Amino acid sequence: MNQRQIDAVKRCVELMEAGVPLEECLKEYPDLVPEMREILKTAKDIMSLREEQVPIEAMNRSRARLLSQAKFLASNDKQSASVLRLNWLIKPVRRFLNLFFSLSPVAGRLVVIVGITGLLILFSSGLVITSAKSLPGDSLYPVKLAVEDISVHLVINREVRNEYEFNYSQQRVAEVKRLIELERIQQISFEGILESMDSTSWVVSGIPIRINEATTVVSGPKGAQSFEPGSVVEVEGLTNALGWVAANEIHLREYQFIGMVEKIEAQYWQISSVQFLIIPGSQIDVGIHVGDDVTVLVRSTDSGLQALAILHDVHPIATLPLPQPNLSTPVPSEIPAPITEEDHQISGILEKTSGNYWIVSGQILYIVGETQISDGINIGDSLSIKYRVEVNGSYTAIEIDKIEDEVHPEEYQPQETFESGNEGDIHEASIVISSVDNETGESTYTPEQQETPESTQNHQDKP
Amino acid sequence: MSDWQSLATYNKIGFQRFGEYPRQMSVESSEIDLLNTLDPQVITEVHNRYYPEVYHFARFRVGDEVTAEDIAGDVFIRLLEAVHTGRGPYKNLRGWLLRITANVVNDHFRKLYNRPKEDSSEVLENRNDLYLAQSDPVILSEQVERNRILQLAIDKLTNAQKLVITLRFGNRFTLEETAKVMGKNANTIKALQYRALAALRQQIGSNML
Repeated sequence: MNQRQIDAVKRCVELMEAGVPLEECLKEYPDLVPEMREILKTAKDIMSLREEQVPIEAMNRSRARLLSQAKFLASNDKQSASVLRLNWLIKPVRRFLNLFFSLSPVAGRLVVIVGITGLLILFSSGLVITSAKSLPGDSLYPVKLAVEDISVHLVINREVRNEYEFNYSQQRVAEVKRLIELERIQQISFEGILESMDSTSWVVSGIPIRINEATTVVSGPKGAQSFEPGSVVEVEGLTNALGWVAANEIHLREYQFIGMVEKIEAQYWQISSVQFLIIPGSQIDVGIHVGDDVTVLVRSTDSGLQALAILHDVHPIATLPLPQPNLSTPVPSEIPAPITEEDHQISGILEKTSGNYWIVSGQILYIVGETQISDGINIGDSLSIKYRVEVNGSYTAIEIDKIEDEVHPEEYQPQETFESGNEGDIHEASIVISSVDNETGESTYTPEQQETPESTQNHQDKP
Repeated sequence: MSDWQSLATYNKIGFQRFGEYPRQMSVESSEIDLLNTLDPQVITEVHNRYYPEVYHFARFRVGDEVTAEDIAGDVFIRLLEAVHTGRGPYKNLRGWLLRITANVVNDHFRKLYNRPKEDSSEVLENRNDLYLAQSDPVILSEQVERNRILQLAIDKLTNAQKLVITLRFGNRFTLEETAKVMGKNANTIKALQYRALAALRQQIGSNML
């Protein structure tokens, strides 16, 4: 068999179909006559098998049968309704699959697969990049949240995960600020650090929040007094064009609780009649026994109160006798302590960082917007920290520096010194301590009692 | 007809048919969509348009009128059910119908061959005898024998060769039309046609001619 024979047979068959006699065709290919004659005779015989006429009766019977079947199918439309409803989806998918499988072998299908994969990658990465700039209420905002959720869940290291969550929490705050700048009215939710508060307006991470009668405030074990500057709160509300957020709901998320250990279990600790869940990341000082006074850093979640840290040291405000600036080891005092904002200094090893606090050699220090933090600080680094003692006794870091000189770890015991420890530096005692918790010895204050201009200024200064 | 005339005629027909493909395809697509509505008028139009081709295909392969009618009727019922359940063709309705016809014909022969105490030659012989018994047996005896041998020989071809021979000689499709129905290019069909004819010649031998 060669190509010339193939072409000759093809041409002769076509001529014979057009009515040209076999021998006439063969005259065009004298050198191929012996082979072609027999093949063309076969072709001619096969042509004779065809019946030209289609029996009209047979066609009519077939049509009648077909119409009868159509009628039967139409009567069963209820059963096939679900299939018909999905036809808009089934048809395009089937068409694509049929087209895909009709592609000539592997190469064509491979090209389609590679093309579709490329498009998906381009589309998804473009979507992720575009969604990164979206704000609440934008169509791509759910994509942004989904990407963040996935990235958090993919991180195994708890410290890195906490860092991710902190960064995303900061993004929520930035988004709300942007919405306020744009004067958009939008339902939002974010977590931030309570910086100041009065009866109707709070400031959370620099965002003014308005409280009204309809606002639901979910507080901690101490009721409304649980809210204090430095606490982490979650705000749900509505942004507006006036530059603030009308709060629908405010949840206390992270705060400090001081009490006496009453019960120690594997799953929870009971401290001053409140149960705190112990989670895998809970940091608990060694040597704590029932009856000890402890400071608990609490996170309020839907599943209960989680103890992020249970520390042996009692809160300084309850132990620091003032004015005694040279005392590095405070002693308990039941006298309500006046307010101090003296700068103190501590050095130690960074053990943990969280959204709004760091733990340095067992000491919790709150981080606020004005805190100056040196670059390149990691867990385990030796730090020198200037801080001030807030009205509630919590420590707020003012400046955090990394100690570059390598010192033996044993030397990093918390050492408290007063940098400007004289009586004249005790100032701005504008927030009046209103009560002392008899059980814990903890001082608290009521927001209503801090309405002096000085106190307002004092709180507004806090980021 | 001279060579250049026949060639020109062929080219003209081929060109026109090729040029008609997009229109043909769109007509078929709209027909397929409309078939799903079970509108009797649409069903009648589709049936009348394609029944002759389906019938010719079946008639060429099975060799008798009654079986060809049954097969053609089955093919259109299958089309209606397939379209109605969303499994029907999405384009090239003609190709889909002819491929289904080929399958139904193959099923028909498979059933015949599976019958006990009969071989394929007996099946074809009995079938032709039954069909031709209604006509004059004396006049048709030679033709009967010729057809029986030819159809036995066709049945021994490969599936692709059977399809090419049926479409080219049973339905009188051009190479391009055959290629479109079979999803191959015209050169492949040309070679398949040559090999099929050569194989038939070899099987038939000198018994018939």
